[in-house]
Amino acid sequence: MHLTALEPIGHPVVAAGANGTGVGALDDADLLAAAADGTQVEAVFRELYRRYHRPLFTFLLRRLGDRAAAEEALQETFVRLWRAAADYDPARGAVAALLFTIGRNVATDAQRRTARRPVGDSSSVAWDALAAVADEDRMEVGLTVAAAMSRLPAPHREVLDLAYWGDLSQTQIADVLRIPLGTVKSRAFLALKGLRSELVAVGLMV
Amino acid sequence: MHVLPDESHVLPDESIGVFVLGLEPPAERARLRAHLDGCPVCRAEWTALRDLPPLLASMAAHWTPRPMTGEAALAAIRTPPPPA
Repeated sequence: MHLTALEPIGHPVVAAGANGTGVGALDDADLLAAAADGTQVEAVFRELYRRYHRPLFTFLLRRLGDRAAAEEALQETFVRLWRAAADYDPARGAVAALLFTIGRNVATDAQRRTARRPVGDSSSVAWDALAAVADEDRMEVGLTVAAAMSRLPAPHREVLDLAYWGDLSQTQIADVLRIPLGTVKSRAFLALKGLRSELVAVGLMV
Repeated sequence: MHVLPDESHVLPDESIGVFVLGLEPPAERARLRAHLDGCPVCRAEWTALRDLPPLLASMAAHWTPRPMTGEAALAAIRTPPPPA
């Protein structure tokens, strides 16, 4: 199977966001409101997909360790987002947090269905999958860091995943993981300290 | 053992993690930045961790699903859900 992963940003499936419909100017909450109304379904979908498909896909790939499974989970995440759109209340959290919450649930469901490995023990598989689809020239340092990340305890790693791939704030991370803000802070701190130790051990930091 | 300044403590402030990652709101960020100026314990922790974000960024978001994934999601969204 052909597994070229690196398409330019704005490849055909997502390129229609700025086609004069004006959805590109809407914020996430407005887009989700439009999704709930059922207006401009295609333009609204493409714009939300354009904004979030990469970080969500990477997040799902890391959790599931398998490209096809991550793609299926990504698809399911957006479908569930659409079905949840009518109930979305901006006062209860950002769209990004909702998306990653749904994505996390979808991944958990997928893991239960396949029952391949316990949750949180798929890192080595995940990184094999990532290596297979990564741009080798750019990825040497990235994969070293990724391998170090995979050796962190899952609760610590997850905070870094959401911070980096989800681009979420500390409050949004607390919402997604359903943990207190103080726990986000302590896990972020311990995760960075742990990552530093791992990178010192492999010689990437001194 | 030297005497620690007023703002200092033996254990570092765990907010250094979110500070290094840039996850907190501006007011909180300003508070910790001011604290770092006067606290050698926290400053040492920050110095050790501050180079991590560019390394983390080196692996971030380089992976893309195949285009059919988005098209399949769009098709599924356009299909009404089955009756409950």
